[in-house]
Amino acid sequence: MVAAIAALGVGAHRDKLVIDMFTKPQAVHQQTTNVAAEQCLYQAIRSEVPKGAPVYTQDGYYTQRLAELSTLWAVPVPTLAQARYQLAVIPGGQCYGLALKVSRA
Amino acid sequence: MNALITLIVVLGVPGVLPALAVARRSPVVVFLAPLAGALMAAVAATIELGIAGSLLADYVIVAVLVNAAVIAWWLRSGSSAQSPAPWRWGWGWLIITAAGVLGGAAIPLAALRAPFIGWDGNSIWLMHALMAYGGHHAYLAGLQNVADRFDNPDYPPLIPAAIALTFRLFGVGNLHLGAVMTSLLTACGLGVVGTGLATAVSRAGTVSRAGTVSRASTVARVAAIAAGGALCVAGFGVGWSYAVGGYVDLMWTAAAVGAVVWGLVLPPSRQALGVAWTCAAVASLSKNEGLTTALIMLALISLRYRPLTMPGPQLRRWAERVLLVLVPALPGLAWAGLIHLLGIHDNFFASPSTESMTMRAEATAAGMAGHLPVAPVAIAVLVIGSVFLRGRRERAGLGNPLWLWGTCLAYLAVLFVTYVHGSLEIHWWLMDSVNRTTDFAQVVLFADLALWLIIAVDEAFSRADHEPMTSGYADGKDTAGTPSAAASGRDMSPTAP
Repeated sequence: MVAAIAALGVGAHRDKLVIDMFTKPQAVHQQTTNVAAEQCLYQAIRSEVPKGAPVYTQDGYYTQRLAELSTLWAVPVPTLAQARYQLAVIPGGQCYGLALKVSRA
Repeated sequence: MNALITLIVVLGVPGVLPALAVARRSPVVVFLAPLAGALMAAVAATIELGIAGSLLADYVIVAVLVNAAVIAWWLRSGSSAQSPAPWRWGWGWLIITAAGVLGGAAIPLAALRAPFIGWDGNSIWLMHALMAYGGHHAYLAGLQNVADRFDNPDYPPLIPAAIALTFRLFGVGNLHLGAVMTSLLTACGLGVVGTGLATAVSRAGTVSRAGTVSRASTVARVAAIAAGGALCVAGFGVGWSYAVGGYVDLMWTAAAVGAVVWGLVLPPSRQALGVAWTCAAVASLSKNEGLTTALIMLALISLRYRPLTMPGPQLRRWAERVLLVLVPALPGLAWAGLIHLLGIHDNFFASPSTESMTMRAEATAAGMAGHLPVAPVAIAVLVIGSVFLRGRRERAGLGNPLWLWGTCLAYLAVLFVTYVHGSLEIHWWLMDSVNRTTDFAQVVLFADLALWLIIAVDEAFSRADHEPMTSGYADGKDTAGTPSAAASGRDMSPTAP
């Protein structure tokens, strides 16, 4: 009985650590900024890229994010040769410290 | 709040009748209804991808058809549909149990205050949700796009469908809604597990000759509710930050453990089987591992409900066993078949690995063992419980613990083989995923620990004047395999707490 209670207690304690991690004001602020930046990039793609355009999203860390945020608007293609636009995320002020860079492929 | 509204109104309300038909008056309905709604949404997404239409239109059709079928079944069955369930909950205990488990499942959701979306939450689940949101052509083109192969396009549609319905209702103005919806459905899955644990003691509770529940039983039931709630919190602890970041691993795990508890632990009955089937179907449509695990669980459930030693025509028995597996697995198998037909696949087995099998096996064993610290404790409790509490467990009609452990070990074996035979570099693959792929084994062992704890409390507080629970049938069923009248007609709960 003691072992079972202890094990469940350890499991519950792990969850407490997660709650503590995500309820700190800094964490809330950081994650709010992150999701706002993502939402901003989502809108930026819709305003700067024509609908249905083939886009090349290979941009290191942001490759998958750009492909995801292009969904239902632009069409990610596997090679630059097939693309009309190349998308990249660069440091800047447009989206909470990030900016969408759209260039002709 | 928007995801919660979707969960209750869009998924929960259409799921109430099916959940009631399956579980009758039981606190599990609170958690099962949204899962049933999500299951219907997943079926709708399969139709959307495979045939035509938009997710919302297909969902409305599926929900109306399912609810009409339930109503027709109820009207046709008449009084036989009202036959007593193996447990009968008084409203007082029902509300207390639902509230207690709900409280436990809600605590971890405090972490949603920070709008965190994890890597897979974005790259897989939100992406698939946006595709499903876009209708048949967008969904099909998106999953078939080779430039998007990184998103594991073969992954099942339950979570994307639930998120897409939220977007349909509230727009795509808040991408974090996806992670919130995933966490809410995870909480529902753990709630099914928690209420299953509470139901175990509602059967095992001691009843005095006067028909009133003794104090010991009340203590045991309160302990069971607390254990159910604690299991929800501990489950989220296993899931770590991934469980609130849009990852689906704990979600399918919770549904699968729900299927284990209701199908392999609780006394056999149509109601328990129905809940187990629903959970298995949910798991099978949530992630690829969920389908594999669902097939393992359903095979074991069929063997439990149709034991190999049972006399009778062998061919018919085997046909029944096959049906017991296939019927609930059908939605998951339909998705897998559709994906295969469309030529969609992931990269896990794209090319043979250049690493040696021995090296992969050693790395996998070490990686998996590192995430199963609960296993030694669970083994110790299993041995002690089997020695000292076996009689109590049998009197309660609960399944042999080997069923649960068999599921756990079979899953770990499949997981081991997958890692060893996969094509990705093993150390990177393990580092990236083994902390999540072992969720099922961890949570199912936590459930076993909680169950032994409940049995121990029940034993410790039981009085000598209790009546035997069963009428000679260890699993609470007669020789025809249906719940015995003695077992099913006994009211284990007071009408008020």
